Amino acid sequence: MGLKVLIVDDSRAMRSVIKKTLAAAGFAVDECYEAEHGLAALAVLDEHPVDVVLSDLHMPEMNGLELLETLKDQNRVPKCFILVTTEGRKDRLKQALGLGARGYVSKPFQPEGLRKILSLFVGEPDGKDLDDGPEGLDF
Amino acid sequence: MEKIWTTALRDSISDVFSTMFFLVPEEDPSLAQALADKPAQHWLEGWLEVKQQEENVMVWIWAPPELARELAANIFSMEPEEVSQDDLLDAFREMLNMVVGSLLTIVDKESLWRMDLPQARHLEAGLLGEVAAKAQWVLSYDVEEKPLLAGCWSQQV
Repeated sequence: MGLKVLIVDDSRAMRSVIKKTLAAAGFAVDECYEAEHGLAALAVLDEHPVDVVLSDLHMPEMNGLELLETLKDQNRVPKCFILVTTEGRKDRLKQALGLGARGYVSKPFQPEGLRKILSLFVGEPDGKDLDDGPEGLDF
Repeated sequence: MEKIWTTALRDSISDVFSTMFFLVPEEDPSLAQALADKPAQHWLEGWLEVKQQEENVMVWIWAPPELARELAANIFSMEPEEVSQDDLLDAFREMLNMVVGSLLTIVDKESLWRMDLPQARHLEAGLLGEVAAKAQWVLSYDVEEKPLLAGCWSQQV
């Protein structure tokens, strides 16, 4: 069974890149929803439960941290919430992890970077789970 | 400060263009001067401000529409002529966003700087020399035979 994924980014270009990267990495995606900011993401999540959220941090209307805060307050942070962001500030990334994000991928990214971190939480695209732990998430 | 930021901007442009757009920018310091009296009309201007407690820095990137279209086509995996104006501006903003984010990763070891959201527009008038004069220093590139300019301006607050 394929993944249900929500991509949250104010750039349509970046949403397109992430979507193509998921496909190129071999992840089976049943449903791929898109939202241009946190508020739109909440509306999607109201209607559609997802396995994975791939979210930017810097967005208008509601940024990624505010989205995570809202989801945490409502006790419904998806099990695999990954940041795909240009944010390099450790305090912001730590804050996001504290709110329930499982890790982050820095833009610009190689497809392998996204595949690797996603595999930690949803398994390898071919169905084999990785044995290694989330060392890449250690700040 | 200037030297560190210049080096970081150079590295960031190279990284973002090669990783996300599959293009290799070659620095050509003579290009900025050669383009100075050319019309800026239709060129894309992107800008993004980064701030910390006592300093603001503005980063600009300028490119002709042909290059902006190629960037968008590469990131959307479509033909250049299929790229809409909205997608062209969106891809340009995202390119700038990644360049500046990557730049801060290099210069901001203490996590002091905050990024605004990227902006982009088509220039309507003026000469490229006048437009680029907003920056305190400018880097110029040849990106597969199309020019690209990038510059910075900083101010103590």
